[in-house]
Amino acid sequence: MSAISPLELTRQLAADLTWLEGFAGEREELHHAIVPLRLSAALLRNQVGPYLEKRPAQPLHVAVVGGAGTGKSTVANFLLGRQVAEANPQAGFTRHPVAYVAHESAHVLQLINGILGPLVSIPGPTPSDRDEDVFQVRQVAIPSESGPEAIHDAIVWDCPDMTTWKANQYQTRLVETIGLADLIVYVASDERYNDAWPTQYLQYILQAGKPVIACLTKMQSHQVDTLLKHFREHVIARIPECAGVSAVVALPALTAAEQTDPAGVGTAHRQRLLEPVQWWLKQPHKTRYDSVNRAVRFLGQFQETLLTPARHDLKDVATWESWVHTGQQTFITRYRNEHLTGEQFPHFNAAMLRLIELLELPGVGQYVSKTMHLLRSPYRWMKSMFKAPVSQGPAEVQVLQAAFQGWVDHLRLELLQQDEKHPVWSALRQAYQQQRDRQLFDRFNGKIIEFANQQAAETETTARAIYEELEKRPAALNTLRGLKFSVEAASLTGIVFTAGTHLLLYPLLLPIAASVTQGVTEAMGKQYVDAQREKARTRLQQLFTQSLAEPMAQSLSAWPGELLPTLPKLREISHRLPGHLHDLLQAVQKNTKEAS
Amino acid sequence: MSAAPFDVISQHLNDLESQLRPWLQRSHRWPLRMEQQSLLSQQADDLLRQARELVAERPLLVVVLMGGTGVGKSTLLNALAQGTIAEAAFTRPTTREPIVYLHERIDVNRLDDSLKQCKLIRHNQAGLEHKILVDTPDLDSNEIIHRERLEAVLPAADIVLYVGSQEKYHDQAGWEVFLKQKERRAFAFILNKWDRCLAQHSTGVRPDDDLLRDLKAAGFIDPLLFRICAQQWLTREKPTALPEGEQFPALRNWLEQGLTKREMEAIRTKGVGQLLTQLQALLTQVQPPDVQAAARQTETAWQGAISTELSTQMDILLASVAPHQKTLERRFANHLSHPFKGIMGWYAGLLDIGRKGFFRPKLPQLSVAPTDPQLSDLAGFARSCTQEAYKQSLAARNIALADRLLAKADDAGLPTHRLNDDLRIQLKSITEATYMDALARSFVTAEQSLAGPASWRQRMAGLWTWLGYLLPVALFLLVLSWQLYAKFNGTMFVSITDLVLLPPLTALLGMTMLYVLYRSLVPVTWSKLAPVCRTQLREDLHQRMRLATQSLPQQQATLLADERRVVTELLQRTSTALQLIQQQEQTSQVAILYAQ
Repeated sequence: MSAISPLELTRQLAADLTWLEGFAGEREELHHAIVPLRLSAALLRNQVGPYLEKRPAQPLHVAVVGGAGTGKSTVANFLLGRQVAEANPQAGFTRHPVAYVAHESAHVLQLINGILGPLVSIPGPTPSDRDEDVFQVRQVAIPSESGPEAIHDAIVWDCPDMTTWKANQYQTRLVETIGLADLIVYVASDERYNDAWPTQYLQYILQAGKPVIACLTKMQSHQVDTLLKHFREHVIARIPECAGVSAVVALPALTAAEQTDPAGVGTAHRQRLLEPVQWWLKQPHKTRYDSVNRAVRFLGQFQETLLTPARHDLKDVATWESWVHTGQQTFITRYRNEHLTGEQFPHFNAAMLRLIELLELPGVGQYVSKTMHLLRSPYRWMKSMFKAPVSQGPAEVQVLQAAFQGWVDHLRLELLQQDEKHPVWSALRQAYQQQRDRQLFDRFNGKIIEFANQQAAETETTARAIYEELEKRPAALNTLRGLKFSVEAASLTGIVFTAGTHLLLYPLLLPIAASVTQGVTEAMGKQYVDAQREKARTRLQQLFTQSLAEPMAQSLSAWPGELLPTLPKLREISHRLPGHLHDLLQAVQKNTKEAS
Repeated sequence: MSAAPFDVISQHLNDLESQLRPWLQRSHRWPLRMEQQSLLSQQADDLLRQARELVAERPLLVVVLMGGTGVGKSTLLNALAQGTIAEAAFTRPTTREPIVYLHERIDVNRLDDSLKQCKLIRHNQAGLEHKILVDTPDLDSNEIIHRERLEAVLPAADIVLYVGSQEKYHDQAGWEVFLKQKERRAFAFILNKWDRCLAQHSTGVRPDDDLLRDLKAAGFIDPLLFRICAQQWLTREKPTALPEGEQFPALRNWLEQGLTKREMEAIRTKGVGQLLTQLQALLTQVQPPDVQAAARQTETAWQGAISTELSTQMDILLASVAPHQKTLERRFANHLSHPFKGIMGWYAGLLDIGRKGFFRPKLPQLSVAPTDPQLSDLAGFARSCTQEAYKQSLAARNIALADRLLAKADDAGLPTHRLNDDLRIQLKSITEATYMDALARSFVTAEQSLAGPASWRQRMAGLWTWLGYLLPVALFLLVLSWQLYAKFNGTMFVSITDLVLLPPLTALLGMTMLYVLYRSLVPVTWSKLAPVCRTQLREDLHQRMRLATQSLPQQQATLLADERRVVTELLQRTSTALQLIQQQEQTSQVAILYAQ
């Protein structure tokens, strides 16, 4: 991960967050996440990126933010000391960010080149109610009489509002500018200061680590103290990060003269506003460093919130995967119970016969063996009479297909019981109804053939190993043969001693003796082969799990991803985002250390 | 307008409500979404409310003030009441609870339930005898509970006075509520703080023009908008410095005199009309589809699935019996008594005893379950075979079968909501015991049909009996006569011993041969038994399965059809009521209050 350069990291992160924002935009239930996502992407694009690029700290960006009609433009004019921004009674007149600079605007454009994300620069001055994703820079001549303290080294951004119903279309422009700003002047009027949505914005701004100066406008002199107190206690205090509000300034309802001449008639009000602003502007490097550091910390702390849209669908996928997993267990159990437990492996019976045959004597001894074989005829006859026939249940392929069908059906049942409005569920339901699960069956049938081949090879090898092992070791084989022959010879000798001259007893006793030895040998062989069978079953189950159950579980888990193309991307982002953020924090810290 | 039609309409609304409510509360096969349910329930409330108001002697008109905090709702109410009845202050938000301002002669019981709980303030203003003014908490401040309180009162409103100020006339928070309500209530608009809207400006649109433009876009052809400065009308004196175009007197006039009885009735009628139209739309949405065809299709599909499944289950069951087939054959042989009589009968009985002593068929019996002394060994054997098969595969297969059936139903387009539960309950009746009994019964049936009185074996019994009578006697006589002939003819030497022993021995040999012949030809072998068992088992289980599942698709379809019928009835009632209302509507005078 560290292979990517920090700058590339910033771009990647911003792109991921923007993608998530687009995703959240398409889902009504995720709309609440749009502003935090956009803000995070804006912080990365407009502040962290340029900082890592080592762009100069000056000029700082001051953004004037607030609800419609609160007098943002008026406050911008007061900051600049001249009436330059259009202040008018139409609520939500300003539709795109407007920057006011004392510098050459071309120079400023170069400074903010490539940032502000999707906003396009248009030449100023253009009426600020142009409702497009643009921004403009207006060069203003700041009068020298506004004093040495005036804002020469800052860019003042007059932003659109966030409260009107049309603001939905342009609040992303506002958020983009907030991400760029080093200092926020939050404007609230006597009507608006306790409004929910602007307060929510103030909270986002403070969480993102921006220093904020709150400016309450249209205050009547007898109300000022009460309102300031009320604002501090009831609005700021409800925000957890309220320490970020460095000052609260009150402006009265301004007269027309004060509005047109902020530096002259309105200078008393102006000074009150400028004082806290300049405290920040005087230490541009610290302001910028702190702002960037806090922004990165914010991104780290709020990553879970940022990932909420991604998690939203991935949670459903995780549920689906847990069903798939449960289904996989049932699938394996069914195969074992319905097929494997009863499977006798015909190969093994042949191998057993071969094993017994191996113990017969070779060469001249074969005549002895043949005689013994003849003697055992009644034994074989009896055995075949009592031998339990092999029972034949359903064929293996049939069992496999039924078990897989059961797996797929059960997933469908779980699905039918879910709220169908979730996109993952509705996509899957639709896929089932369009019989796209047939593709899964095709894949499964392909896998069955593979499995059957592997299985055949496996059982044949195991079966052959039963006798081959003995064949390969002639010493052991001959020892066993000798042992068997000795026992047979001993029992025959015993019979000769017992029966003596009672010739009639021989036809009765000899077959019995020959059969007992053979019976014991066969029982031992059977024990051995049965143990091998059991082992083969275990191995086959492993093989089955590996080459059928696992691949099919993967196919089923990946199915939602095939139906909803957004899922792989969501997974990718939620996977890499935390690591990227961590790397970014370190890059920024390293950069800060180098700078200081 | 006579009173009678209102009575009729009111009765219609009452009837509609009394049918809608129980339908809403009962459980549904075609599930209602949460929001549909709550919307329908609200509409049922509205129906009752409107039904009650329609028959009132003199209609009451509820006018609710709605708007953001600080726009001056309470000030407006105070100005209309010409006194301080609602607390108006400069800290936001001010109004915490709705305030109901009503004439002292209005009976509290006539108020809507949501209004009864509010703070009631009585007055004796002549112009407002039949109007109720309601001041509400804001809809945009940080106090979320205020919004809920507003939403609790809104359904009672006949007319909503949507109050905006220069800052807030455009706000999203109010606009969203307005959009949701505009189809259901009459709306008039107020732009308060009109003086602030007239500030000098070179750019932008004047707020009233801006608002009118929005309202036209929202479907109000000629919206009723009052531009006022409520603050100036708090005292009884006529204010002196009013801005141009101030319309407070017009507003008061409209409220007091403009809304005549006739108009109020028309507003109410229109309100009912809108309610019914909405109800109609919603009911059409929630009407279940006709699924008769789907149910039939499901039935066929289910039969196929069950049939396929059962043949596999037969294989499994018979495979569990097959290893014991020889024991079973012997058991049948031992239980099949021989048809011989006389000497042959006596001899066969003797042989039977010997035979039973040699072949002692022991069918495996259930070891874990308490052994039932009444249980025949065959039933016990069926149980123990089934137990294994059931545990190993049948139980899992039946669960999978239920999944399969639901998938088939979904394929056919039959809604599966709650069908799953029904199906599981039905399939629960098919247990291990079902299979045990079925298998035992199939054995008994097979025994009956193969060896019972009606079987060819029994019908041939007479032949065997006669053979049994004839053969020993014939052999005896034959050998005896041949011996006597030989003896007296002198062709061969026949001793006395021969003469005494040979005929009976031959007869004995003949009887033995006959016995062996009988036992080898007649007994029930597995190859004959298995198909009979299979057929019987299949019939038995198929019947059980059919019994359990057959009626379900049709039942689901019937229940859905029933729901469909109720909704259709509701729709018919709605449309009848709507026709009556449309006859009554006097749209011309109140059209401007409504969205198109």
